[in-house]
Amino acid sequence: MADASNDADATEQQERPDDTTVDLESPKDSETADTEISEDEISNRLDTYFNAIADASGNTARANSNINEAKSMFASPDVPVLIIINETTDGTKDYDQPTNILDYMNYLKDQGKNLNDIYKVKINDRGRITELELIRK
Amino acid sequence: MKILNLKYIGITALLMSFSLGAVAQTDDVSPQRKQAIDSLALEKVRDLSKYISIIGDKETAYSEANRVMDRAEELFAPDSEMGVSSLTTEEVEYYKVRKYFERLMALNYDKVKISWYDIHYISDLEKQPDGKYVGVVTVYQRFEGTSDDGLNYKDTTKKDITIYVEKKKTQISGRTIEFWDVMLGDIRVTETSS
Repeated sequence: MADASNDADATEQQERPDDTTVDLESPKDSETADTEISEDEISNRLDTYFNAIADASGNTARANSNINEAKSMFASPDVPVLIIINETTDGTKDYDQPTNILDYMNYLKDQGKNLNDIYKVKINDRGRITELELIRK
Repeated sequence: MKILNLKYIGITALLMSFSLGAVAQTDDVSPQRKQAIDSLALEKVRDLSKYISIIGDKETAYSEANRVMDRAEELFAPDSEMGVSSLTTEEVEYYKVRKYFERLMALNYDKVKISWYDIHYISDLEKQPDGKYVGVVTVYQRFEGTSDDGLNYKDTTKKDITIYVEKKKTQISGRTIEFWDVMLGDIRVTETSS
């Protein structure tokens, strides 16, 4: 599976020196268009990997290959993954039991289904994901 | 008259405290939230179904089967048991879930196919006095085992799964996150047919 270019990652590192929580739902005014695009790229790449892993269920080698590629987007295999099962109009969230990214991707492989959309991604200064929040489709 | 009024106020206050206690016992979860919890619990049962299918599949590599057994075991409350029946005997055996998975993986067939269907609630999740939700989901399981030497076994069982849901807290990146913890309890056989 082809990866996005490294140029977007390099640009992001230059413009985001600190750990930053990226809220894809409400980008800050100070962020540049280039940064917003790279945040979307990260989200889209990740979603593509998740769908590929789920679609590869039954083909362990192919699913594991996609998992190993997707792992490179994260700071570590232990990066926490929060899954929103319900969000009220006042913003209150109900969560499933938190997991980590390696277990989550193995879950996609085992179950062969991707039930969640990407809600929020937290990235460090090296462009690696440090926290992932998903929401039920 | 003053004493009567005080008595009246006292009795009224006592009655009000009882009624407030009764309100606290009732379900304070919105319908939308309740539906999300119901769906979450049902999804865990479907997850178990897939795990069992993977564990029983003779094509599954040993290392993968062990990893999946770990994931499947995590769905259960401690000491939960799985019922196993057979067309050849009326008795239903109950095994701790890990033991069940290990026996499933070791079945002496060349090909094993297990599928669950018609998964639905027979008893809705209801809030208990301790705050936990408890419900029962029923499933139909189709089991097919075949061997190259002609050994074949097929059956359909109906099983009831007790489900527990509880709100818990954990720490993620230094902040407290509340989540709905779904635990499967005992899985009891209610019917066995060919």
